[in-house]
Amino acid sequence: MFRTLAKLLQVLNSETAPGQISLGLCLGMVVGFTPFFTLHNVLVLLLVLVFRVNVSAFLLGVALFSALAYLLDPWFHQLGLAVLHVEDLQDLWTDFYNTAMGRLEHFNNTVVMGSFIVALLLFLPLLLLINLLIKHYRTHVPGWFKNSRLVTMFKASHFYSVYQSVSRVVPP
Amino acid sequence: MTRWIRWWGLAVFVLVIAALAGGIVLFADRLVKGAVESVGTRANGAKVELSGASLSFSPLGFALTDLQVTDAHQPLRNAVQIQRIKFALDGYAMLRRNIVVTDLIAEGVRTDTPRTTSGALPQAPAPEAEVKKPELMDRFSFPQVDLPDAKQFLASNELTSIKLAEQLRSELDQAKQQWNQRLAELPDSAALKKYEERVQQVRPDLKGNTLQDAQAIAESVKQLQALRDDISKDVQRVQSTKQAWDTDWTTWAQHSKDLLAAPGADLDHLKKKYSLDAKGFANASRALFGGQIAHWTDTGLYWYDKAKPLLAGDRTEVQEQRPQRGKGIDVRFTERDQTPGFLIRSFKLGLEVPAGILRGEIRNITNDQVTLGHPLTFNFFAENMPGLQDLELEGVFNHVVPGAAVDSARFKAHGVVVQRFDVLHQPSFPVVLSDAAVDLDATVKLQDGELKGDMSANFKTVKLGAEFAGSAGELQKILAAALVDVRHFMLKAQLQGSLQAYDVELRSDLDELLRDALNRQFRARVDKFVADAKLQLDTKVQATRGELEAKLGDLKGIGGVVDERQKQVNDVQQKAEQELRLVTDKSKQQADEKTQSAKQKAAQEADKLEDRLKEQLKF
Repeated sequence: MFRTLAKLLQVLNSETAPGQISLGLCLGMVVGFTPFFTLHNVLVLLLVLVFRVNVSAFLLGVALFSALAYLLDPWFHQLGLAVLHVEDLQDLWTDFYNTAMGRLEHFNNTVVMGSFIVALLLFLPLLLLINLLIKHYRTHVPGWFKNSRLVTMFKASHFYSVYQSVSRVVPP
Repeated sequence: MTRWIRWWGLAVFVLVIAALAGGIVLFADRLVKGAVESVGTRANGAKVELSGASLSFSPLGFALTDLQVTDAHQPLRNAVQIQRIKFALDGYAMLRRNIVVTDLIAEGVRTDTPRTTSGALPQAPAPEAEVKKPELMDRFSFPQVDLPDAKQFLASNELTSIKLAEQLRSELDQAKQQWNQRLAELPDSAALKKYEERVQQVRPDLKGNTLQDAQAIAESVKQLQALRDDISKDVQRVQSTKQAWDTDWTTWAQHSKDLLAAPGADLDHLKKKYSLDAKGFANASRALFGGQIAHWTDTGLYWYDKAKPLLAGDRTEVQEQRPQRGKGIDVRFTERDQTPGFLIRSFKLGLEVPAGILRGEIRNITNDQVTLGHPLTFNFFAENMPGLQDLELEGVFNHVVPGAAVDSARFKAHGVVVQRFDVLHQPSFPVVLSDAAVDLDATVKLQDGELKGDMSANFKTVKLGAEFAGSAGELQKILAAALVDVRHFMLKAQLQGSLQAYDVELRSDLDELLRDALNRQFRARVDKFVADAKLQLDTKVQATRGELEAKLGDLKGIGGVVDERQKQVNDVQQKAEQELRLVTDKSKQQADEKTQSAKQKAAQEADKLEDRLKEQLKF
């Protein structure tokens, strides 16, 4: 965990585009929120591997949002159940249910549907927000941070030594 | 844009997918073998083993070899063993998470085969307590009709005639003793002579003296009256003895008469005791075929019970289901091409039975007939079965409409040549059907839990017999002889009840045929036995009767003595009475004479007085 966080900090401080990091976290959110063995997660994996999405951010996103999903699971179920029973959408669901893709996707499961909708709804706002936060971080935080007492103390910590060792091994 | 693409990432993705696919291809055989064995073992309650499994892609499917399903009740036997199974899967249905087997072919299907190792599970759950089924053989037992040897029978059994003879002998011996004693108590000839002497002694000695004679007569009367009273007492004693004798004699005569009739009654009883109980033997066909039919019924219901999970078509809608955390619930939508989660569209198999191969097809095997909309149907016919004209087994298990399931089956076989069929396995009466041609028609139906079935079998050119290993009882011998006479018979069975408790009623004209034959043969044997017994009994009773007649003759002599004594005592009584009358008459006569003399004397005195008066008063 430390290593992943360290990597993320290192990426944040590197030249990596903010979009790559935010996309990794957001795609991690999709995988983390929804049950793992679903068709859309295969697609997410393909996207993560093919596009230059930051893998550390993705893995961190999966871990973070999986833990969050455990807490939110009852609400995912309620939401999914409500959406799957919306009268106007019945034809759409029935059509999709009668396709191999639909059955493989397992969309008719309340948790899959609920969590996927939440992930979709949060995807863009979260992407933009994280992008903004990264830009803000890179502009203001490093200079202030390096001179703060907290960093002075931090540099003396075990975490910093790990960070240093990672910095040496992984080229920026 | 290209700076956003990570080509090696695409390669990694392809590699991951390829590795997964390769793994599936490489390990599919083992996965399927493991899945079949673990799922099958769990469902069967005993080991299910598979020699091998191989995956094929065109068409998509598997081939399984040597499937062995252990009989959970007999771990050293397989309930079923299948040499080779090949099936094709519907790939599109699999994408929709449905397992649809389009074509399943099983070859070399055999039931009840031996196993080399035990198929019991290490920690098998205790077998469920079996529901007690009506055992058809329970209701029949051979009547006990072994005929003994007549001499031995008479020696070991207490017959009425023998018993009565003994009683009469004892009675007569006792009576002789008693009556001799009573005879001794009766007045004998000495006593009677004494009475006669007393009569002579009390006769009055008349001397002509009036007064003295009168006194002697009075004394004689008094003594004679006393003697009469004494004799009367003896007369009464003898009379009561005579009455007792008459009563005893009547009793002995009646007992003697009873003894004469007793042998006849004994023989009638023997005939009755050793007659064939027609009611008890009314269900001979049940005894002969009941066990076999019960076995067939049990086997059929055992396999129906095994197939039952595949027929559980009553789908219940899930209402207000509480989801498992992280799992949610699956919402069902209308399927345009409705397919059950599990379906075998066609299952073709060749079942190897001792007579040959039973080939057939089962269609629409699914646990969700409601979704499929079609019932399970099956049809079997005989292949390579020599000595068989026609055989057909067909049936429908219809669970399409929830709550209105109807399962029915029909079995028809014509010209079935039966050679050496063990009808009855009882060691005491092992019946073998050596040869027969059978036409069989059977139907069975299960609706609303009610089981109904009919079977009609026509046996022609029959050769029945019993093959005893050791010695056979009397009835068994008679039955065996009767079975040989049977050339044809009908057998009808009716099945009623439920799967847990059913009853089979069997009827056959074999009952009547056997009963008639048995009656004929048995009656002849009983008649011979009774004749032998009569001869023995007559000889025995005749000897006893001679002895008893001699005893009765002795007693009759005692009766003669009693009669004689009665006569003698009566004679003495008469003599005494006569003497008493004589003396009384004499006394009366003397009194009359005395009165007459007194009258005459008085008249004379009156005459004298008249004369004197007349002389004194003479003027």
